[in-house]
Amino acid sequence: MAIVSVRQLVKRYGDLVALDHFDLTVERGEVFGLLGPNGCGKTTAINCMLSLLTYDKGTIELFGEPMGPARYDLKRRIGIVPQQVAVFNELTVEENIDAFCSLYVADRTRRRTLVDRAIAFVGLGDFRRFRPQKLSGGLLRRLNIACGIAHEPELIFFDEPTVAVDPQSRNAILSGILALVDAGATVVYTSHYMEEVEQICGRIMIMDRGRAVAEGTVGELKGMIGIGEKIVVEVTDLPEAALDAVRYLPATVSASYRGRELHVACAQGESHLAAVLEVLASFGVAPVRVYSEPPTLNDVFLEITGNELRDHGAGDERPAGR
Amino acid sequence: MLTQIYYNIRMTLRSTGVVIWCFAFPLIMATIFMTMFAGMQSNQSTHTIKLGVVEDTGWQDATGLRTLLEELAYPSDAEDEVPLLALTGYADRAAAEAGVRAGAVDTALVIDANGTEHLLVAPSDAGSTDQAIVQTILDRYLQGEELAGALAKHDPAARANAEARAALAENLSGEQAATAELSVLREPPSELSRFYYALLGYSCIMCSTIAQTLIDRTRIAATPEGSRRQVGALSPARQLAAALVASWLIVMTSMMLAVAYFYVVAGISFGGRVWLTPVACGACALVSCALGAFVGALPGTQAGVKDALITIATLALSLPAGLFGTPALEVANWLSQHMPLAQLLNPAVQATEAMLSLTFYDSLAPFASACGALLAIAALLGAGALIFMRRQRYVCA
Amino acid sequence: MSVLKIAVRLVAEHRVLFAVYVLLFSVVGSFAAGSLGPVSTTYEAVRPGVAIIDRDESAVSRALASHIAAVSELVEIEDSTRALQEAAAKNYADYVLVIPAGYGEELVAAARAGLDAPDLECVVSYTSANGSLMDERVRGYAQELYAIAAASPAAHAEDLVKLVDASQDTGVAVEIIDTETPGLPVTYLVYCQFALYALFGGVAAIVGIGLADLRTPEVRQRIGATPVPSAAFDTQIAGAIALCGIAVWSINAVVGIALYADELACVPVALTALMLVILFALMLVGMAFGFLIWQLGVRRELVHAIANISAIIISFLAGTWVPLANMSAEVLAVARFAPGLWAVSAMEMLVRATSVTGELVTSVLGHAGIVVLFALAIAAAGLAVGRARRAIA
Repeated sequence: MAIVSVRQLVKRYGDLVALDHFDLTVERGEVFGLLGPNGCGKTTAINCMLSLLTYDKGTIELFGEPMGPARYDLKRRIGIVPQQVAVFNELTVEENIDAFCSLYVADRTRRRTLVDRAIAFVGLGDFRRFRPQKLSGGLLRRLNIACGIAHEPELIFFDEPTVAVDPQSRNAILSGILALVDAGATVVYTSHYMEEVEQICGRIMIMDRGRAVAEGTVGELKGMIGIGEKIVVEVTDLPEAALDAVRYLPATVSASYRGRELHVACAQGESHLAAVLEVLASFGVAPVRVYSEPPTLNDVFLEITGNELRDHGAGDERPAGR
Repeated sequence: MLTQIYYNIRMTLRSTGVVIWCFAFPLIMATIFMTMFAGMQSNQSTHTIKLGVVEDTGWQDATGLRTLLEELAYPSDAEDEVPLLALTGYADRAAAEAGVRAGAVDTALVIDANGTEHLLVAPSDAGSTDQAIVQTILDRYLQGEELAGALAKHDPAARANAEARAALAENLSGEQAATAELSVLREPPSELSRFYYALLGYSCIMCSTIAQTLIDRTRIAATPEGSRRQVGALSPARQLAAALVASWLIVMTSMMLAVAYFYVVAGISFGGRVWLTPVACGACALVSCALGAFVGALPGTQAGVKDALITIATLALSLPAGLFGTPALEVANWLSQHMPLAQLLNPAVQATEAMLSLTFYDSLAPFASACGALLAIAALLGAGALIFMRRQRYVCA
Repeated sequence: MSVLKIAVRLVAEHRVLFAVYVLLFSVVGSFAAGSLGPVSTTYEAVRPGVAIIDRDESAVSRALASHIAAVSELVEIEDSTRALQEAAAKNYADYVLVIPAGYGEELVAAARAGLDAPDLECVVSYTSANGSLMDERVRGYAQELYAIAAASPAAHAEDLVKLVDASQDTGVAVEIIDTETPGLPVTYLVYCQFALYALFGGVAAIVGIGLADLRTPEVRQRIGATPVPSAAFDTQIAGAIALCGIAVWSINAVVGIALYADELACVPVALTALMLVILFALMLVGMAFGFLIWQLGVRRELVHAIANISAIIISFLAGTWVPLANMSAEVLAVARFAPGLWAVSAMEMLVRATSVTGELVTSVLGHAGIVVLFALAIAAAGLAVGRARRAIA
């Protein structure tokens, strides 16, 4: 069953179209990655799904039922970990989690267990009585997560939860998310970190300018782009003519030589490693080291959304952190 | 909802700003008022004026006047009575002038060679009340002499009679025509209590920052926490109610704490009707919440601007309540007499008014009407806040 | 100079603080001074606000009323309990005189029978010195009427009144002592007393808030990594603080001189200059306090609280709100340990001054010196805090 089902969603801010006939389906139990450059409409889409924002057109169904601002029964089953750390600076870690949890769970004793569980889950056991100002960036992010998941929601939106977090905390967060999914939750995950998304998301959607531009599993996405494998050859010296010859190979998309390394991006298809080495041999270049790697999600992302810098123009995406 | 109220209260009480400005500040100010007026109150009714006299032959010769002044300076009848005058002798006019100029005495009396009295005052404080009191005493003495002379001209025969002359002199300096102080108020008025009451008015406005902050923290897009809360499964109306109840409780506590401090430490009696103060404080706390909600709901206003608005409102509205000293009290009086509507709509003034009527007036009607005015102001602001909030619901970013 | 430039730019971003703390409080000061009224060179007896409720309407009561009206400012008050209560509670009038019905006749009758006259009723406000004065005036007039009525058993009330009124012009001559030169006007003194708030609290708030960014660990780390030596950094910060102080002092001084230009024109320039020196010394205390707050790394929201509350206390201890003479000995003892008292007593010397003498200049400068010592002590505390913090870091 589809947990999230968004059809033909349109959201405008004046002349700016933030969401342009946006469609999204998330199935139960999956970790769905929502990627896109800054200002592409990710947070707007999430806020519309949560009924925090009105929208101009389209339908949003959660758990198979139409979502609306007064659907508290549905809201009770949803958790959100916002991009900005949204906690009360005057309350301690424990109090913060309980305060937010109390918006979902009225029963005090049950809440106590839930809060304890959430604290254990994010590993803030030693910091229960700390106020947010005293927490480091990684701990603060973990608190931000705990506040969103303590009521054990079935559907959780993670909006760039790992911004400014060290690798250890990030790993803890990611494996935590997987644990939540194992426990039965469905996750919608947005991030700028491609390797994270590649690591945990089953299905991924790339958004740009308010629309879905690509959707599929990691493998499917990689198959959609022009680049196949990337070949790196370490050589002591490379004559200009040899580089040109590599560039003239039919499968070569691009080739460059920098820092004693020859980088060749090849088109999709079978491996072109042999052909490249053959050309090099013909110029008398002996490779020191050779390796070939498949395209990364980063390549997919950049190829689909283009290389130009974003972050200008209006959008709902505020810079991460504070 | 109870949990929300609890956490709202908890985080507000942990905010340093709130604790300083809404709880500590009124108490600090009350303490300052107390020390400030401690000296003043004691020397108000029992006030001694420092009069210098040039003790030359003129002084020695003016027997009547000298006796009068000496009696005022050294009253024989009541030992515990504080004398009206304290006499300081000077050898000559130059010494007296120096004394007056240096502020050692309020004024000095010189009787010249012709027997004419002169009162010397310093240019820096000419026209003080104390000088006028001395002047009135001397005037009265001189007028008595003048009157005796006039009478003698009018009826020379009667004036030749020594007994009649003595009777006239006695009557002129006597105290048969007296005044009785009416006590129209339930207790003696004091400028001091008005300052304290104005302080409650200040609290009422200043505390609106509590409601403003709490409401902002439950509203979408006003704060990150607010957006997050609105995702929760508790309806916005109930969250708003939780914020309002929490702010009302805090403001009420802050005001009652101030009242208790005034009552217990500063000795302000509230006219023996301290049991009615919670009614006024309750109404004030409502205004405070409504004002906070109103400022919080103002569209397109940033947090810093809201803070500034509340600070400005606090200063601007407390001034006509008479918080900033005697000049402010005069402005308050002028406004009450000439622009009653402006005063009626000013919650700080109505808060002060409520306490004042409670303390001083026999009838409780003025108190009730001040509380009524407070409730009306709260209703007005609350309605305004609601209109703004309805317009903004769900629109963010 | 780079740090100084940054600091000045940061402070300039907080221009609004100058408007609030300096201009606003200068205006408040002049407002308070304005309540004193203009300084006059001739003596005029004080005219308290008085309301008269004449329930008698006889020749005697009318005479009494018009006599009182001549020596006071009349205030209209209705003859109702509520109006009387409001007038008394809010001090609409210093003195409310109620002449009971039949008073005139009874006074004359009592005088002739040798009995005590009926009481006049009065409501005395809480500013009771003025109230006592009016009471003195009322009783004096009534007593004169009484004495004359007793002495002329056959005369009509109208004649008695005429006789008493004729004597009212008699009185003691009040002279203002001639001085070679007048001292500073009292209005300017009050303005300068209020300036204490801007110079102390204002400078402290501006420094504390304006330079807060230069105090954050991140920025300190950044600056620490630049080739600016730490001594140079400190000096430039001190320079920036000094600029803030001098700016506040100049604004306040210019506003004051502009407001009281006419009065100050007839006073020796030296007195005004000495006043500015005292204000400058006070500003140094504000600067030192701002520096201390800055060194302590006080949070922004607390800076306002600390600056304002301490400014309130300091100006209170300086006698800005209530004259020092009216304070109890205990408070005065405490006040000696605050800079305001010394500054204000020096200011009062300037007001009382009759000529510019070496003695006056020395004692004023002496007091200003004590104020500067307070500044030095606070600044030293600031330096010590800075050292301690650096050592910990």
